[in-house]
Amino acid sequence: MASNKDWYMKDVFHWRTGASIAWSMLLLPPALGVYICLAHFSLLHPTAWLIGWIRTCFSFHGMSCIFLVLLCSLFAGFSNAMSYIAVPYIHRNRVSIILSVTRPPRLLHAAGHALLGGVTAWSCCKLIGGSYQELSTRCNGEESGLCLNERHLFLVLFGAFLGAVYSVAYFLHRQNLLTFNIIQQVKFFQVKSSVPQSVLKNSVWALRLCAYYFAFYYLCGCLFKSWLLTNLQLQELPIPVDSIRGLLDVRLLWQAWLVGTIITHLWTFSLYLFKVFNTEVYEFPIETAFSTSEECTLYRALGQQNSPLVKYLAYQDLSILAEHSPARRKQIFTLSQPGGHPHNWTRISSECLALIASLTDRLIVHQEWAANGINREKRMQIEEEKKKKKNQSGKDTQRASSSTSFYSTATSPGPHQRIATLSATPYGTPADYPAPGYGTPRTPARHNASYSAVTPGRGDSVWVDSPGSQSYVPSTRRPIHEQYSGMSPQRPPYLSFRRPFVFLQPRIAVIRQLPLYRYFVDPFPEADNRLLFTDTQLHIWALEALASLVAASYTEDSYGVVQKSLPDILTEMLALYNALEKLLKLPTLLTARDPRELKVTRIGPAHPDDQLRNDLRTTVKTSLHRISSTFSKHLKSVPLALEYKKQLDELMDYKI
Amino acid sequence: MCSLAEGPPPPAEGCITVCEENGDLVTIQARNAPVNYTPRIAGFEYPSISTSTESLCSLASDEAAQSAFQPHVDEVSLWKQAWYTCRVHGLTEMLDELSKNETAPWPVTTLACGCLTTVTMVNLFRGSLYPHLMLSPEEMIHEFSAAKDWQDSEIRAFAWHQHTNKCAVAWKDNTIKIFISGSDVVPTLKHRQQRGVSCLAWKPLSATVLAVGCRGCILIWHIDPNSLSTRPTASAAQVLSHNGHAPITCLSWDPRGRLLVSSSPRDTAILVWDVPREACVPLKRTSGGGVALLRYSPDSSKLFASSPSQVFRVWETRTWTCEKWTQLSGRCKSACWSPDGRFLLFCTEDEPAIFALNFIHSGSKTGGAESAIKCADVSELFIKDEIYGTRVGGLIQDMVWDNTGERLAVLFKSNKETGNTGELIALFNTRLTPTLQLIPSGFVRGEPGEVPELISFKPNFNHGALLTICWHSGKVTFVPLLFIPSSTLAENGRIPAHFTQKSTPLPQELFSVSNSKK
Repeated sequence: MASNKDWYMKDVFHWRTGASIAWSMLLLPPALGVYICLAHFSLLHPTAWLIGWIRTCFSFHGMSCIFLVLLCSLFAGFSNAMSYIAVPYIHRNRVSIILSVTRPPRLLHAAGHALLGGVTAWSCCKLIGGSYQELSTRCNGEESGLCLNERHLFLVLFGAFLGAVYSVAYFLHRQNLLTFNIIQQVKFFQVKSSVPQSVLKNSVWALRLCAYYFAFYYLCGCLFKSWLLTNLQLQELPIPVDSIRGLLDVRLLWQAWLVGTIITHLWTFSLYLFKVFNTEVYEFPIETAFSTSEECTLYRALGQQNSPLVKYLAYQDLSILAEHSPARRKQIFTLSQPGGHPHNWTRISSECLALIASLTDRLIVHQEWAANGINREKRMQIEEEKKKKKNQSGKDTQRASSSTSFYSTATSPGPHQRIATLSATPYGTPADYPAPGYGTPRTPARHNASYSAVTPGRGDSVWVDSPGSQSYVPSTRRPIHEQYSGMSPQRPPYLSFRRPFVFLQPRIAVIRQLPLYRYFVDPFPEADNRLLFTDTQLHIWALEALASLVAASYTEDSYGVVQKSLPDILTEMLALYNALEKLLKLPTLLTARDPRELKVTRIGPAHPDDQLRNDLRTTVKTSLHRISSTFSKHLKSVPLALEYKKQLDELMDYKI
Repeated sequence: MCSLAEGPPPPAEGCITVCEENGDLVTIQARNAPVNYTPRIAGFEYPSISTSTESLCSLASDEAAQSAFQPHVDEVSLWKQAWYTCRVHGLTEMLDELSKNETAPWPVTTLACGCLTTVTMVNLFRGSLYPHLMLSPEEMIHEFSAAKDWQDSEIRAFAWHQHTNKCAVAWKDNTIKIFISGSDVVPTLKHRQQRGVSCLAWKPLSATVLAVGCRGCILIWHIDPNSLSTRPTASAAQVLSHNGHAPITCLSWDPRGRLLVSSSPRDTAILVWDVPREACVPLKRTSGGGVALLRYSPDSSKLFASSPSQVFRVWETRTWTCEKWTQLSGRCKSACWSPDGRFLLFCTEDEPAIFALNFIHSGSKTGGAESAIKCADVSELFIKDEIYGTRVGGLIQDMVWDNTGERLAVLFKSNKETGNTGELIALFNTRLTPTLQLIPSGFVRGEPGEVPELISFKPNFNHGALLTICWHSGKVTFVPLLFIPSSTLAENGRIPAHFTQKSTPLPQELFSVSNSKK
């Protein structure tokens, strides 16, 4: 399997990345030309401005500066290729956000970008010339010594500051995520239409950053300055830049803004090109004549576990060929030459179905687990109240029960968590109940693994039903999506050494109630659900591809290879549809019931991860409708479970 | 090329066309017409579209609450006033106000005056290139929407659901009602942003989703077919808007139900929306000055997009490249695809003719022919009958082609000079094989004094084609065109059961009152 990834990396990824970097390098000199033109701008001396511009652009000194900038951008481009991801990561709480930025490789990334930014800003200073060119300048009037040119220092430091902030924002806003386009435009038009917008966005961003940097320099600028003054034995100019008067210089702001805009533009543009080149459709061969190149075929790529990018590209290719390419569809529907087996179709469809089934399992397990959590919590609350009533009477009971409910809703983020804390009194110590919210990431796969070991003895404390025992799903299920184990979210560090220090439990319970602790460690209300749907793009493509292939098979499939798997496809789709509907109807937003958390609930355009979930829901429905409208009354003779038959009828009448 | 004169003469005044049967259009006298003269068809029930608007609708005027108050100008500082004007009315209004303000210091007034002049000059220049940019949003929708008289018509937009027997009607008071056949529940859609509705589009392969193009945005309604509620809440609507992309004049869904494309004559880009993700990709081509009309081809491989000037484009939907057709006599007013996506019929604003463009399937390119063929001449004719005469034809307002590709209905503009109100709808029989052929087959006339505003064919109608006409008064009538589609004949090799004489869908007594003119 690993060789598949290697093959892709060697043959495609490197070429694509190389091409993207080459294009960004080619387009860098014109961008710098425009920058130099703007940097030399002077309204009162137009001729001097133009001459200065052309001279700077074509002098040896100017060209070497441009070369230096080019070299810096090259490194930035390579760093993109090293840190891209295809599957988004979800931050569960604020600690994980902080940790994600402070991991050593990311710190290195930030330091590297600060350096690159500094060097680029230094070259820009050289290109601007005039009073920005050198770090030292002659003190006015006196021939005695050199003074520190603080404007030069200001700009170079700004470059470094910008680089560091860029790197942090890069990881915080998931700019390293390869997002696939809705439509497959030609690269040229894609880039062309995005450039004006991105320049505008970058300039606004740079302007905002300038504001922060000016404040930063006013407060901390003297540190750098005094260090340089003492080490280089320079004198200070009469008007220091880190004073109010020095910072009110409009020209300095203009230059800083330009430097900020050009650096951000060069980096984001190269990042954008990297994404455009790497998310372009790659045509995987459906079958090959040679066994040596079998690694590169579509079905192997669909089942790829090591490289998410290859898997994403494969599913994208599949959905596009299913929709647009009759010739390649025909290849899928053909039979193998000796033997007459529909290998291509079987392999591809089973990969797709396995993928969809894994999601269905994940959803069902999560749903069961959450629903159990809710029921259990209710029961617990009632019992708790009863117990309190026994001990106390009258007003005290009221107060106690209200405080209990406050405690349970306020301190615990989700149903599972709630039970874990509450169960301390009636059912023994929490050590018996590992807190799922903290102990393990809340993917059902993990849960299942951890709970099956812990809970078999207790009938009423089953957290998660094992997927195998589901009578709900007719077909036998494969083991749940294993891909998750590798990309679990950041875990709070204290977890690893929680088990040995059991005696610390009461202390930890106290700490848990601290508002600060809650602020950092409580999971975000939607994190669980988002975690379920991180790689949903794959499922959307798989569904689209299956629907298109099945719809096309109505006229194109001359051997009837698709017919045989039609019941499976319909069953999987309907199962996914039901699981989705059930999950989305669930009041999973338990924390949102807490009035203090309600106000955080955002109204407006949905979060990008939620949008993917909506898309999945729509795609399932559309795919089912597509199949049912293509086959219409012929579907009546497809053998299906009674429940599904009923649903299919409803679908055909457009009642769903 | 054919002309209207070749076809049968129009029905006399005072007649109503009720249906097509055995290749002839059946008319009845308006005097003797029963209340419900639309022939009943076995196994099919028309949705009952009632014209009664809500009694409260007169209260819901377009006027803002502001007009009830006197302007409050004293004690408000100039900057506050300017800031407010800029936020509410825009930059130009602010400049205008500043330049006229007497209390403002003179440099401000001069500067504002200068800026305003520049803005006006630039606008005038743009307006001289593309005159439609000078129109207000309402006028723009009036100009570019499919309705003949959008501003005054009771019904502003109409859409049949792709698969089921229900339709959506947008009324003048900005409400949309959904009429479902066999159901008394009439969901009424209202939304704060739902103003100036120019077009409606049901999502294909979906039971619930309706896209509404409005003056400022696109609304996506999710209407649960099982719900008994007559007023879906505003939370059932998604609002899609994009900077500079308003007013929306045309929406078109990808026939596979994945993408929605929207156009605005003010924006040179077509927006391709992934609706559940609320994300859009602009497809920008500058020449043409905007996009007025969009039509997805039924096989979803091509997208027709016409501009407000003499240019239209056809996009292929795989890599989204386009081909451009120029040198039209005027802007393209209406267009429709044949069901197999091989032919595009279009007409221009200032020539009474229908043109056809042939497309040959060839890989990734659109494969369109270099030039269009004029296939029908519909110039205005005066056809005499026994007593008076009737004016037919003229410039085309809208054309619709039915899903079998055998009937084409053409709605004409009114012509004030000759007194032609465009009350007749021309029908053509069309053949796609071996070559495209249009044969005039007659005219549809409504009740006396009624002017048609919108025409549409029901997408899936088993007995032929169902022409739906929205009249100026807010009435909606159905004219069933009963015929056996040649594709059905070819498939079955015999006439399907519901077409045979024994179980004719028409009630027999209809023929006693029929009075067809030959």
